[in-house]
Amino acid sequence: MQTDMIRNFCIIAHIDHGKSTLADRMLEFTNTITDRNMQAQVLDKMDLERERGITIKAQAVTIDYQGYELNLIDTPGHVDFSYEVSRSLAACEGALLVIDAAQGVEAQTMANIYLALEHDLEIIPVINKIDLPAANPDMVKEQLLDIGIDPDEAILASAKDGTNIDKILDAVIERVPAPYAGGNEPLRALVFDSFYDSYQGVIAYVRIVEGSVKKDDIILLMSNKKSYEVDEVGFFAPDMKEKDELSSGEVGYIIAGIKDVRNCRVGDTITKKDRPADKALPGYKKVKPMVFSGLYPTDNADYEVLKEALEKLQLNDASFTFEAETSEALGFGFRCGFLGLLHMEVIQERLEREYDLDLVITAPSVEYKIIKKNGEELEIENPALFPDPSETEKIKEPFVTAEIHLPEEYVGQAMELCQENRGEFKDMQYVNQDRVNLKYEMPLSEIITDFFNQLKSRTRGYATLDYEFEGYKESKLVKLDILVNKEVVDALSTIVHEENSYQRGNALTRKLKEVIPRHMFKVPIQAAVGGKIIARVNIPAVRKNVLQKCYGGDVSRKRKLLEKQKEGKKRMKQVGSVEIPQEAFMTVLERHEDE
Amino acid sequence: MSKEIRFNEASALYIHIPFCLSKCPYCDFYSVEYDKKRVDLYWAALFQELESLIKSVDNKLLRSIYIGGGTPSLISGEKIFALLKKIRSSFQLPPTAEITIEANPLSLSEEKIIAYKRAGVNRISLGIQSFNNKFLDFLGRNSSREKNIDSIKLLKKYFSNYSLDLIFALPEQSGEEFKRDLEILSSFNPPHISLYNLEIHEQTPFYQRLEKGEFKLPADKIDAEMYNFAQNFFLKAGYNNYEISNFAKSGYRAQHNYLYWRYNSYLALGPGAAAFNGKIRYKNRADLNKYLKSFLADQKVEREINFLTKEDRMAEYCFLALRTRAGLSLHQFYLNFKEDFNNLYRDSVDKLKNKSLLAESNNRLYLTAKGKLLANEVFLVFLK
Repeated sequence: MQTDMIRNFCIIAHIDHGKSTLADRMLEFTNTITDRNMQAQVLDKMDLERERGITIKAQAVTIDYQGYELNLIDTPGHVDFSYEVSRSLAACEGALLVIDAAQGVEAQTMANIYLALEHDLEIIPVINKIDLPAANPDMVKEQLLDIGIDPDEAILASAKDGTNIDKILDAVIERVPAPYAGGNEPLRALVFDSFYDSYQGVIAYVRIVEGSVKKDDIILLMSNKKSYEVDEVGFFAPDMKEKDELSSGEVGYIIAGIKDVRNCRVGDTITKKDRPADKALPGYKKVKPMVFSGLYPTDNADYEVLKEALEKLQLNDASFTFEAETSEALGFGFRCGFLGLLHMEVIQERLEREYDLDLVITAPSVEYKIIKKNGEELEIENPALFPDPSETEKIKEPFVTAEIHLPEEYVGQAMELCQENRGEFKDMQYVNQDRVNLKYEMPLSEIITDFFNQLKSRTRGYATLDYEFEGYKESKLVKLDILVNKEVVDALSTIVHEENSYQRGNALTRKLKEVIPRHMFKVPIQAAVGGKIIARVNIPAVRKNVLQKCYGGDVSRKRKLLEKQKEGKKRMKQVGSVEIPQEAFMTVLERHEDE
Repeated sequence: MSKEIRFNEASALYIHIPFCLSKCPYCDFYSVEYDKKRVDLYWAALFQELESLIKSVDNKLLRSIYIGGGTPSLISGEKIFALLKKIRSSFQLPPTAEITIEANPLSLSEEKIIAYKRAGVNRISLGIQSFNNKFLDFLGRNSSREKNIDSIKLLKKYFSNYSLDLIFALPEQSGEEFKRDLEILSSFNPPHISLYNLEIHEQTPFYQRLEKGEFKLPADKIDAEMYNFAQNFFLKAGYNNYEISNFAKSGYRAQHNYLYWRYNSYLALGPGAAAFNGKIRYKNRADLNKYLKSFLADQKVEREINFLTKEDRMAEYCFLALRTRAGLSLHQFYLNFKEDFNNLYRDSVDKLKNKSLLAESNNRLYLTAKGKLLANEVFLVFLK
């Protein structure tokens, strides 16, 4: 294919603004897929993605339209996957910027625009959902003007009704530049996603930047110098279709007997072994998990099942890590690393759904860097493993720049919340007369503990949040231990700022009192820092638990009532002589309610 | 058409009367508003269900009939007479058979008491619930302390075998108030007493009201204290606490319920009533309209059928037996299920014994005093 007949573009949008619906409609309109095969949102393949209306994995599809080859790359729509998004963008020359006609510009819209500009993409604004009664395209146009985008270039559309899909496609052809035609350079292909297929191994989604690749070529991955023989190349229509060769400007896939996605990471550059490129494409980094939590089977017998499930999930997700760990309270389990909270939730849900596992999940934590008095440096992501305060010289924790986009009237509440979470004010800008962009520097640990929910509730759902890792900084942190029935439950330990320890200890013990059921004996719940008790509540003993009335013949019903009680108990984790429900290990998250 | 469920034998028959003048907000038994015409039709339907029931029973010896509700005392003596006559003509009832009818003080006149007695009823269970007008109002009973007392006096004139129901652990009920109820109750020296704490069932108005925070139940500590107090009180008054919630003078144990707790088979008539043949339990659909319609259309009553696994049956057998003072006989368990109790439950039972919830002697297990208060904790052990 002549490169001047190719257009590579992606769709960027704030979550829920209709990105996937628009993609579907374009596929329908161009007969890339027929109505009959169309399941809503074809590009989001996982059930979970469809259910939550979010895209987790990037997807690509080649559209044949008026003689042009249009390569559409659907990007993940969540801050956890911002690196993946940036790689998808790097594979394109243009972007459809989809904005909800009723919601207008949001934090992620902004973040996406910056990203698109960074990659020098031609931006085509699409004001979507104009069919909604609350649609206000003029308001959106004004906002566009405010952020430096020409509102006259915007296309008004309704992906739901299929309005103006043709205009969007025409704009892609007219406005998105054709890819670089290339000369005689060696192969450089950008991996913008990859997934594992149990029959074919890793399938790498690539954009050929220069050169070409075909079956039997020996390719070389530039980050790890591993080489593989190509079994097949092809494109997505949207199912995989083999072709002879992928060449400069094209988007497609490479299958080369790669057994592990970790050997073919997003952002890597593929070249050929016999004629390697001098330099890899810019922007590759090995994404590291930022959020960690312990996953334990409720029933210890499920340990092997959990292990297998994690291994399988990892095959497809290079940014997810796990390693075995042991908790005194919870037994054998795994410390898992995730890109962010959503990534964590998605994996947990898949484990519970696809593998039918009952899990206890500890509160998420970040990776702390600890410098001990003897000079030793530790990286610890499990609060239970923190060294004794007497041995620690200093503790550093990861900080992020949080960007909050919200209506002006909620600025006060949002600022207050940021300050409560150790945020340091950096900047505030008006996006237009009533929308504000706030910038705070904050510890990541604060963001991952219920911050977003709090932000939503304090701003009536109007605020949106985006954040980016900044670096490590020293903080005055202590480990807060929880004792249940006089025994430290390691899985309930958290790291808190020294100044907040009393308040947090109080809130946490009170919360646990609500969550842990009463037992036949009194159960004290205590909070301690460095062995010193700082808060205590008692869960009184159950004095009476009997189905007193048991006459009439409907004994089945009585039995079922008892079975329900028993079922509840089964889902709990026995720690010493106390049964602790799953949710107790997450209570550390919901911190602000009582404070 | 569903396959007929057969009964080799059935020592008890329960008949449900799904009518009330008004629905008490705590009650989760099935009933609809009383309507004379519908009662007439219901009686015809009941006879029809009885006809087909008779055919499904092999050994037709009945040791107990229980007419419960709803409010059975809304039904005329003639109707009860006709029903019992029909039953007697098809079943064998020894002279010792217990025939109970539940009654509400509001609808129990002297004429009715006499008529029921003539019809062959030999035991009346009277829903007193409280002697305190404040609590009677709260419970939606439309009765009063005076009315309750008059009813008992009337009842005593004609029946030596009767039972009085009392509810305790009511919102903000003081120990004094409870004690007063017990004193009034025992002043009549009734041969049998059923004592229940106020339990809140889903799908009752009280459940909604409790959820909304309109009232609060007393703490379980208070509930336990009241229960303990009542146990001592009745023990001193010469009663035998033969089941968790039931107290009887010698010879006045409720045979009907005792048959349930001893895992006997039982028959059932009427919407919402449950029957058990030793392996299958079924419950007639709790819907009077449907019940009457199937009668008019000459169809079978809709039933919810529950096939009990051996596990289910063993669990039920154990927890029902443990409710009684006689306890659970491990030997009897073996005879019934051909399973060694110790193999199945010994470890858990020993733990409960260590916690002083169970006691054991002569190859029998019993709830201790503490075990009675925490009986569910014990029962759970037998469930899957």
